[in-house]
Amino acid sequence: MRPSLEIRNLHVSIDDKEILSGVNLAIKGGEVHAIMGPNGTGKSTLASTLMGHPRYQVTEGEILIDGQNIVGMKPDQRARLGLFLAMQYPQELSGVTTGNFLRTAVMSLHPEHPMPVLEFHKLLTEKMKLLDIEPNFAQRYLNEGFSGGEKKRNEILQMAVLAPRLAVLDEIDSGLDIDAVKIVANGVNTLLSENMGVMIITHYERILRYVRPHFVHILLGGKVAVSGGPELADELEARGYDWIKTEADPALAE
Amino acid sequence: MAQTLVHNAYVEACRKRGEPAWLVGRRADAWQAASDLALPKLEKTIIERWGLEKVLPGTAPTEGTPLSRDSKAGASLVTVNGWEQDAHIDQALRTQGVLLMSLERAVAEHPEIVEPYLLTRPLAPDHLLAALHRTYLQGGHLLYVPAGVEIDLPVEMVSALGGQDAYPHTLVVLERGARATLVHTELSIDESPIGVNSAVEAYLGEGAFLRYAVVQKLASQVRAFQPRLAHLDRDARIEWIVVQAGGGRVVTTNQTLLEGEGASAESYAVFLGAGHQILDFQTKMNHLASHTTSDIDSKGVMTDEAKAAYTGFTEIRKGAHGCASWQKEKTLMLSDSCRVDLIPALWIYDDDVQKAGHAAAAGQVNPEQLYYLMSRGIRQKDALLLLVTGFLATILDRIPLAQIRDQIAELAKETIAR
Ligand SMILES: Nc1ncnc2c1ncn2[C@@H]1O[C@H](COP(=O)(O)OP(=O)(O)O)[C@@H](O)[C@H]1O
Ligand SMILES: [Mg+2]
Repeated sequence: MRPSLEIRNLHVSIDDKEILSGVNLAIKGGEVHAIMGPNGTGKSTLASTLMGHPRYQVTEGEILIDGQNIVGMKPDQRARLGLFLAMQYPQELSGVTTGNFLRTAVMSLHPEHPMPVLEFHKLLTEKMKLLDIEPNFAQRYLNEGFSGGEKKRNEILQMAVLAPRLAVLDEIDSGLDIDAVKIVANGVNTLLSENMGVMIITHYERILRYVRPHFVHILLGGKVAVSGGPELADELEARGYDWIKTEADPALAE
Repeated sequence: MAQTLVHNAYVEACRKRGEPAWLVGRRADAWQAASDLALPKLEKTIIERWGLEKVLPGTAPTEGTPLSRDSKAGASLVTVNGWEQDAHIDQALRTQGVLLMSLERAVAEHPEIVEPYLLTRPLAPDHLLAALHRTYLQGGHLLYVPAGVEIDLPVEMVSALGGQDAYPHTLVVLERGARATLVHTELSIDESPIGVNSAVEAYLGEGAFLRYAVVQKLASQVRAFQPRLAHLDRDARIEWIVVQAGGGRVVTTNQTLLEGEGASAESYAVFLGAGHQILDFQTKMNHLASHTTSDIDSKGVMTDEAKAAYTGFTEIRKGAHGCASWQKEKTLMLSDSCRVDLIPALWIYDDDVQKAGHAAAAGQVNPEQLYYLMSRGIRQKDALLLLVTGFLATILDRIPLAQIRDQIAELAKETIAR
């Protein structure tokens, strides 16, 4: 079945402060959606809410994966439905190797088909090669002492190994030099198919030159203020966000 | 009064079994002293109602259910309530004079080795429980490694307890330059709520090396007092690996007396607490001679309603120059209702110290880390296990015995799953 993510009238609060106030979005397998917006507008809030971070409270609305409402589900359940979030700030975990962690994740996602160790290592090696990652990476403790760029690559490596149906990439390009952006973008493009929908969150259009989005949405004032095709990203690059505040919703303009 | 009757009957039984006069005499002296002694005063744990002073020795050998031993070990010994059930020692080791047998047999067959050590030194600061151990010690183990003999493979010792109170005593003697690794497992053969007063005494001669790994996984209703004590002669070295997971109410001290110049001790300890377990765990290093070093690294994982008081104690005695010591203790608390008191103590009486210090920290699971793991599809229990494994890694990395690392992982899993 072609994956589908639908966000309906989503309201989200942190500590009783409303950050998102009625977000609507629909993503299907094979599509790349870019979510853009200035810093602090709630992009990461949206991503974390999708994944089920316990701090973010959904006060209204629905999140549907293949038609099933996932609000209230634990993050691991969501992951098992095929959702994946490449986090803006990945955690460091001392004492747990990246390889061991990923293997545990693969086992958790597919308990009915436990992957033999050798097969897992083959998969891991192949994906590390795709992303131009050093072989010793898997033996290092998860993100511990990783540079910003290495952490981001590790997020994409995890995506590549776990093969999600719906991937949300939160600021995956920040902290990467241009070569690394290309490698990561190439990784995403290689994995993209009818069986995977992608949401790329960025406040910076650079990565969108390498992963062309089918749709661009601008998050402002807790809502999707404007949606359009890839040309919208170019327009943002040229004109910034202020024009949207006036054109799309005069109430947002100061 | 009742105690005295039991006591007299017990001593009589010992005499009847043909115990040598020196041992009966040592028991009698300890009993004499006991009447003036009180329970140990512990800083954070109230043991007055545990009934440890009422623990009594059994009077007859236990017929054990056969326990399997590790067939790969060059030497292994299984006891049930201190009585020898199975002992095996490779011919090569035997020829070199290595002894591994129950203490009972050692007392009868090798008094020349046992008598100079057994109960010749205080077990702990003088208190009632130590005196009772000296009075009643029954059965147990002897590992003896003659001078210069090196045992490559770990020596296995299994101490199985159940059905009755127990007073097993483990004596380890490594003569000058001897080397050995001893893996000592303490387990229950049933769920009986027994009392245990077990002690370990190790004597390391000049330049000897002992890696002593103990895995205590007694049943959850067991009350236990468990002093473990090592005496180190000049340039001797001990590496403790203490895994303290079992028992319902447990007091344990793990003490190294650095008596000879240049002696050194490392201690890696893992304690695990779940359910309603109460644990008082002490690691003690006494620098009694110059240029001695000690290093303590302890980690605890607690959950449910479990309570632990952990004391890291280092003493550098006046006149012991140029010593170095370090202690680290860290706990991870998985529940809101567990409790840990960390009590680091440094007593430095000499002015010429090379290094001394401590670091203590009690922490909880980082919810962001848990979320990160779960976001990859890992179930909460498995995610916690990964976090616990990661937490223990600095200690696991120091343990060269895969079987112990696996056991810790297994016990950690049980702790989380409870
Ligand atoms: N964990 C948090 N605690 C408190 N406030 C938060 C937290 N996360 C985000 N916010 C607030 O929510 C708003 C949106 O933040 P965020 O979703 O991170 O924006 P973006 O990703 O678009 O930069 C900001 O005002 C930010 O300060
Ligand atoms: Mg953000």
